[in-house]
Amino acid sequence: MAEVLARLEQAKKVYQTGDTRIVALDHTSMEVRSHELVLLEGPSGSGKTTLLSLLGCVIYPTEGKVMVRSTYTTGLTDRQLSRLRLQHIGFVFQNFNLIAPFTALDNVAFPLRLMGKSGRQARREALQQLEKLGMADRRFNRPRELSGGQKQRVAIARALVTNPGILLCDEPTASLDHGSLEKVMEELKMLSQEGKAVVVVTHDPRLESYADRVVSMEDGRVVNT
Amino acid sequence: MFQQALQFMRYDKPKTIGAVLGVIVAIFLIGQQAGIFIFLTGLMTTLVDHSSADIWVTSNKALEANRLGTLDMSYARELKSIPGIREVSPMVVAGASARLSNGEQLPVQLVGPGAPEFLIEPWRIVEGEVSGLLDKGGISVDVFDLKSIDELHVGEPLEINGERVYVKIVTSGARGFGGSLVLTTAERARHLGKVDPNTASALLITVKEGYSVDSVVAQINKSFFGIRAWEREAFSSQTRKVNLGNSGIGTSTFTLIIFAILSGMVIIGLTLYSAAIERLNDFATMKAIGASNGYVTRIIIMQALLIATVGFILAAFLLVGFQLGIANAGIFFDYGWKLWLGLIVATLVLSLGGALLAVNRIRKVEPASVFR
Repeated sequence: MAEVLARLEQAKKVYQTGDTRIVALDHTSMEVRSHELVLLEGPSGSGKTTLLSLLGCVIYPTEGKVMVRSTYTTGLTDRQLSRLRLQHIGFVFQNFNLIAPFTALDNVAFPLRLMGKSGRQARREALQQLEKLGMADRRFNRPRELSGGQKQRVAIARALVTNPGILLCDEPTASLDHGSLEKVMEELKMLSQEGKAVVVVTHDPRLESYADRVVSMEDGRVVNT
Repeated sequence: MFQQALQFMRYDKPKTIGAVLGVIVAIFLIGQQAGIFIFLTGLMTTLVDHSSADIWVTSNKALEANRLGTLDMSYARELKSIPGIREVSPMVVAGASARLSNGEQLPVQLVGPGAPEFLIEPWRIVEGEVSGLLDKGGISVDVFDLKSIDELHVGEPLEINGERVYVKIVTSGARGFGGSLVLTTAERARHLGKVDPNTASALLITVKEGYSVDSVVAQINKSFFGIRAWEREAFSSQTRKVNLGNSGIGTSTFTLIIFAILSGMVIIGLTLYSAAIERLNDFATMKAIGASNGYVTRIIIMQALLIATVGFILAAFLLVGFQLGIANAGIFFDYGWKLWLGLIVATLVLSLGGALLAVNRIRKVEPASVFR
C-alpha cells in the first residue's frame, strides 16, 4: 500500500538578490508516495529544481512546510537536516557529482561512513551495492576513469546504499546515450516497484513511459498532476 | 575522516607538496633562527652559567657579566665576615694579545678564576685536566679559536702579551661573547694582562649549607657600599637582558620568527584555499548527501594536521642536520624540549591558521548548489 513519504504544504521559495526578488516556487502542495515513479516536467525556470531541493531538504521554504518521513524540516538545525537527508533521501544528479578524489567504492561507501559504520563494513556494503548494479569490477576506478553511464550507475549505487525511502533524480539521463538512458530508467522503475518513491526531474518526454505520475510545472506552480 | 582527508591530498599532489614545503620552510627558518639565538644568548652568559659560584659580587657599576669593571681585593677579606659565606674567590678578566707558534696573532680574553678552587672551570674539555692550569704558564684554549693550528694538543706553546705560556687544556666549543677565551688562574691572568694584583673583576662566592643564597645576597648588598651581589641565575638573566637590549638580537630574531609564521600561514592558507575552491562541488555533494558542516570542517582540519605532521617531521630532520653541520664551525647549541615543543605549537598555529580560510569557504557552500 502506498505511503506518503514526503509532502510539500503550501511551500513557497523566494530568492532575493539585492533588490531583485524571484519567486521560484509559489504556494505549492505535493505528495510523494512509496511505490511510485513521479516525473517532474516543465520549462527552465518553472521551479522543478527548487521543488526537488525542498523535497531533498537542502533548502528551507520561505513559507509553508516540508515534511519528510513524518518530520517537518522547519526549525531543524544544519546537523539535523543533514541527518534527515542521510537517512531518508538518495540523490542522483545530472552531472553525477561523484566525489573526484574518491574511487567508485569509496564514493558509494561515503554515506555509510557518515552513518558511523566502520571503513571495513562500509566498503563491504558498498561493494554489494556496486555488484547489484554491475559495477564491482570498476570499484577501484576514480570517476574520471569511468564512462557517463558507469558514473551514473555508481551515483545510483551511492544513492541507494543507505536504503533511503526517497530517491530524487535531477535530469539523471541528460548526459547519457540512449542505451544507458534505458538501463538507468529501468533501474529506477524497478526501485519504485520495490517500494521506493522516485522523483525524476526531466525535459525528456521519452521518460514519460516509465512514470506512474507526471507533474507539470510552470512559473513556480504545479499546473497538472 | 583521516582516509578522506588523505584521498583529497593525494588527488591534488602539487598543492599538497606546496603546503608541506610551506611548513618546512617556515619551521626550518624559525628553528634556524632560534638555534642561532640560543647560541648567542648562551655566549652572553657563558662565564656565569659555567661557574659553580652561588653568588657573583661585582662593582656596583657593572650591569652585566661581559663588562665587569674592577673591585678592590680588600672586599674579599671583608666579605668573609658575612655569616653563611663558605669561600670567596677572585675572578680576573683581562684583554690580551696572543701569538701562536705559526706566527698568527689574535686578541684574546683572559679569564682567571682563583686557584685551586676554580669556581669557573674550563668546559667541553677534549684534552688535558683542570689541574694543568696550576702548572707553569698553564692555559686552556679552544680549537675553534685557534683554527690555524692544524693539530692543537696539550703542550702547544704560545705567547700572550709577550710571555711564554703552554696549552694545558684543549676545549671544543667553550667560546666567549667578547672574543676568544683563554682560561688560566687569577694570578696568571693578572700577570699576563698587566692587572693590578690588588684588584679583581668579580668575586665569586659559595654559600655554606643551611644558609639561603638570597639572604646572603641581601646581607652583602645591605652591608657594603660600591659593590653589588647577584644570585648566579639572576646575574645570568640580567646579562642576557642587557645584551639583548643593546644588540637588537632579540628583536630581529623575534621579528623573523613572526614573519616566518605569517609567511608559512599565507602559503598554507592560499594552497588549502585554492584546493578547496577547486573541490567546492565535491564538498557541496558531500553536504547534500548528508555530511554536516562540522564533518567537512574536520576533513579540512585533518588535511591541515597531516600537512603539519609531514612538514614538521621533514623540517625537524633538516634542523638536526643544520645543528650538526653548524657544530663543525664551533657553533654549538641544544634545541631542548621546550624549543621543540614551541616548534610543534608554531607548526600547528600556521597550519590550522592557514586552514581557516578554506574552512570558512567550505562552510559557506550550500548543498543546494549541486542542483544548479
